[in-house]
Amino acid sequence: MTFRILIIDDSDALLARMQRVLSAEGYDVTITTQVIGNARHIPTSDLVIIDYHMPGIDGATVVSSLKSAAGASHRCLFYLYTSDKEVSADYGHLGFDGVITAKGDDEALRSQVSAIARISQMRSLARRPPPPK
Amino acid sequence: MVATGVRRRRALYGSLGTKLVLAVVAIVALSSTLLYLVLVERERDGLLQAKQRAANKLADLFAASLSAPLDFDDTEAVGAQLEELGTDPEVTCAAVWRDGARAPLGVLHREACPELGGSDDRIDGLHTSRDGVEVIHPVIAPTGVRVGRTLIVLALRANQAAFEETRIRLLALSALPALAITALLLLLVRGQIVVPIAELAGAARRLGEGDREARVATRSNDEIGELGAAFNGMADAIAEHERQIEAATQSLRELLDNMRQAIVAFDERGAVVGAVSREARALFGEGFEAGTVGDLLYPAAPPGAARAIERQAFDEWLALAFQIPPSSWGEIARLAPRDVVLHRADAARTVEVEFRPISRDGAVVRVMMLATDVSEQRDLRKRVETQEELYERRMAAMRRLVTGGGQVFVRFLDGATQRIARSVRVLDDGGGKIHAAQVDELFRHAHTLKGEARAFALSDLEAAAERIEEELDAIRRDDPAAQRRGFAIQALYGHLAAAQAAVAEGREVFVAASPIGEAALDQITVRRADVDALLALAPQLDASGAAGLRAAQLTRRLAARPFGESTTTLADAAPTWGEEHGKKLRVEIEGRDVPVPPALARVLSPVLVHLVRNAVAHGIEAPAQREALGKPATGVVRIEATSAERGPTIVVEDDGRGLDDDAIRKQARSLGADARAAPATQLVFASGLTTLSRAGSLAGRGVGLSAVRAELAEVGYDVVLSSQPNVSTRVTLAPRKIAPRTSPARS
Repeated sequence: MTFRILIIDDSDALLARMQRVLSAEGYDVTITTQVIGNARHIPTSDLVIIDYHMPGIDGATVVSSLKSAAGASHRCLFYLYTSDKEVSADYGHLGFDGVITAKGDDEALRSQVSAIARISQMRSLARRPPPPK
Repeated sequence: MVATGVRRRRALYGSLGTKLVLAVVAIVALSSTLLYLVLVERERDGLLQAKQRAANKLADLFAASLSAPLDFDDTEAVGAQLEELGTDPEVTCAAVWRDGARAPLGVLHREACPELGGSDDRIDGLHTSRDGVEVIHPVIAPTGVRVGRTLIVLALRANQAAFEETRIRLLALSALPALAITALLLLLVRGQIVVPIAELAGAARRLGEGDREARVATRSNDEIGELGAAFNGMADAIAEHERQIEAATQSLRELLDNMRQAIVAFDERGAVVGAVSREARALFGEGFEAGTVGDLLYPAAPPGAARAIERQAFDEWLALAFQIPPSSWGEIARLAPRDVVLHRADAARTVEVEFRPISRDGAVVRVMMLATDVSEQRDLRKRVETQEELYERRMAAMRRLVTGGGQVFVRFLDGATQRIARSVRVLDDGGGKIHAAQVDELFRHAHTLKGEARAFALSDLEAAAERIEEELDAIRRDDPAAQRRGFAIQALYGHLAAAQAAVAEGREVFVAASPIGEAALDQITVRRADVDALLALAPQLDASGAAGLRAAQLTRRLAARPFGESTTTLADAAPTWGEEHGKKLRVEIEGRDVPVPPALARVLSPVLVHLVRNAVAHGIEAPAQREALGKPATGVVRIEATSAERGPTIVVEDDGRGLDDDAIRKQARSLGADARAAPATQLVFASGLTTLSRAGSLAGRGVGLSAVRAELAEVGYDVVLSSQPNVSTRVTLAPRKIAPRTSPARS
C-alpha cells in the first residue's frame, strides 16, 4: 500500500519541490499551504510533515490541533521540518514524533522520509497478530 | 590439566595394558591350578591303586597261609603267621577269625585296629580310608570249604609323605611354566597390542590437536597393523579434506576479495562477526569489525542529529530481523535500508546495501550485508537526470509558450529585465543603506517576479525572487540574524544577479525551443490577409520613388517567413526515419531566422523533407559501416540557410557515403539515357532513376529529386548537387541567375 504523506508549509515553491522529490520515490503526496482544515486528511495519511515558522501560526499549534481533531486512534506520524535548530531540539515537547533535519536538502529529505516510512511499516508489522499455528 | 589427570587415572586403573596383564595372569593362574590339581589327583590315584594291589596280594598270601591251620584248628600256627605278618612295617593291623566265630582267633597290633567284632560282621573286599587300605579276605580250606576270614590293614603314612613330596614337585612344575607363559604373554601383549594402540591413541590425539602429520608406524600385518594403516589412511583423508577446505576457503576469500561488494556479517546485537572482504575494509576502513553494523552505516547519529531517523529505523529493523522465521525474510528485507550515504573525511560515498539471512535450525542466526559503492554511478546519473530533466522541463514550457503565447513571454522577459535593473538602481541609490520605502518597492518587484516566474515555470527565477523576499523580510523584521550577517545588501545584489541570470537563461531556452530562432524575440502577430494585400501593392510601391521602393522592400520582408518555419518537424522526425532503417543521425539547423520569400516558403518545407529523406535513405550509412570507415556512428544532416540579396541560399548536406556513380549510370542506361553525356550529379535528377533495388518508406521510386527540381524551378530556384565518395553529398538551393518565369509577387 502506498505510503501517504501530507505536507503543510507556507512556501509553494518548497511544497512543489518536496512533492516532486517524494512523488518520484513512489509516495502519495498531498501538499497544502493551508494551516487549518487539514484534520480530514489525517485518517488517510501515514505521515504529516509540518513546517514550524508559518505566517501567524507555528507548527506546534498546527500539530496540536491536528492531533486533538484526529483523536487517539490515528496511526499517523507527525514530523517537524524546519531549519531552526533550537526548535528541532525541542520537537518532543512541541508534540512531534520526530524531526526531519537538513531542510532544503532533497537527498536528506528522501532518505529520512524513507526511514520514517520503514519505521511506520515495521510498527504496523509488530501490531499485526501472529498467524495461527 | 583435566585431560592430564584423566590420562593418569586411566593409566593407573583402566589402561588397556593393566587389564590385559590382569587377564593374562588370571588365565594362566587358573590354568596352572587346574593342571596342578589334575596331576595331584592322578598321582594320588596311582599311589592308592598300587597300595590296594599290594594289600590284595598280601591278603591272598596271608589267607593261603592260614588255610591249613584254620582247617586243623591250629591256633599256634595262626599266631606264627600273624607274627610273621607283623614283620611287615606297613601292616598296622591284622586279625583272623574262624568262620562263624564271634571274636577273632588272633590279632596283630590290636591297638591300631578298628572295631573288629565277629567273623560275619564284615564283608569281603577292599576298603580304603584316610589312614590306610583295609582288606577282608576269606580263608578257604584245601577242600574248598570256607574256614575263616582275615583282616589286613596297610598303613598309608609312608605313602602320604611321598605323596607330599610329589605334590610339591608337581606344584613347582606347574608354577614355573605358568610364570614363563605369563611373562611371554605379557611381552607379547605389550609389544603387539598395548604399545601399538598407545601409539595409535597418541597419534589420534595429536591429529585432533591439529597435527596434520601425525601418523603411526605399521610393523605387522595383523589387525593392529591394519588398524594403524586404517588410521594413517584416515589421517591422510582428513589432511586432504582440510587442504581442499583450505583451498576452497582461499578461493572463496579471493572471490569475496575480488567482488565489488563489501560483505559483512552481523549477529542479532549488530556486532560484526566472521571474516570480512577486502572491499569491506576499503569501504568502511580498517578495524571496523570491532563495532556494530549500525555504527558502520550511521555513525555519529545521536538523537536529533541529521541521521537519527535513519539510525532509529535501522535499529528497529535489526531487532525485527532476528525474530522472524527465514521463510518470511522477504517481508523484512523490503523494510531494510536500500542505500546509505557514508560521510567520509574525503567525500560522501553512496552505498547500496542488501541484506541476506543466514539461518540455522529454522531461525535467523546472522545477517549478511552486501554493500556496493555506487557513488560515481549515482552522481553521474543525477547530473544527467538533473540536466535532462531541467532541459526537458524548460523546453516543454517554452514550446508551450512559443505555440501559445510567445509574444507574452517575450514581454515578460523584457519586463523582468527592467524590474531587476530597477531593483539594482534602488540598491545603488541607497549607498549601502536601505529604507522602508525602498524595501517596499523591492518587495513589489520581487513579488511580481516570483508570481510571473511561477506562471512561466521558471523555477530558478522563482527561487531567486523567493530569496530576495526572504532577505527583505528579515530586513523588515530587523532580524538580528540578518544584522549579524551584515551583508543583507550584498546578498540582495547576489540574488538580483541570480534573477537576471535566470531571465537570460529563460531567453536562451526560449530561442532554442523556437523553430525560428531569435526571430521569435522580434515577432508580432499580424493578420495574413493584411500582409497579402500589402504585398500586392509592392509593385506599385517599387515605381513610386525611393520611399516607395523602401516601403516595397519592407513589405516583402514583412511577408517573408523565417526559414525555421520550414524545418519545424525535421529535427525530430529525421532521427526517427533513421531508426526505422537501422541508422543513427541528427539534424543540425542553422539560420532559422533567415527570411524566406513567401513563394519559396510555400514549396520549401516539402522540398526539404524530400532532400532529408533522400539523405537518410541514400547517404547516411548504418552505424557499423560508419565506424568501419572511421566515422562517428551517428550521421549528421545539416540544413543551413544564408541570406543573400536575391534570396536565401539553402544547403542540405549529409556526411554519408556520397553518390554511387556506377549505380546511377547503370540506372540511367536502363532508363535509355546517355549516361556518358552528363555527370552523376545531373543524372540523379532524371525521372524514375533510383539506386535502391526496391521502393521503401523513405525513397526508391525515383521521383523525389526530379519533383524537387521542378518545384523549385517554379519559384526561380535551381538545385545543384555535389558529392564526395564516403565524405558527403551536398544539395544547394540557390536563386536562379535569370529571372524566374513566375513572379514571386503572385504569391
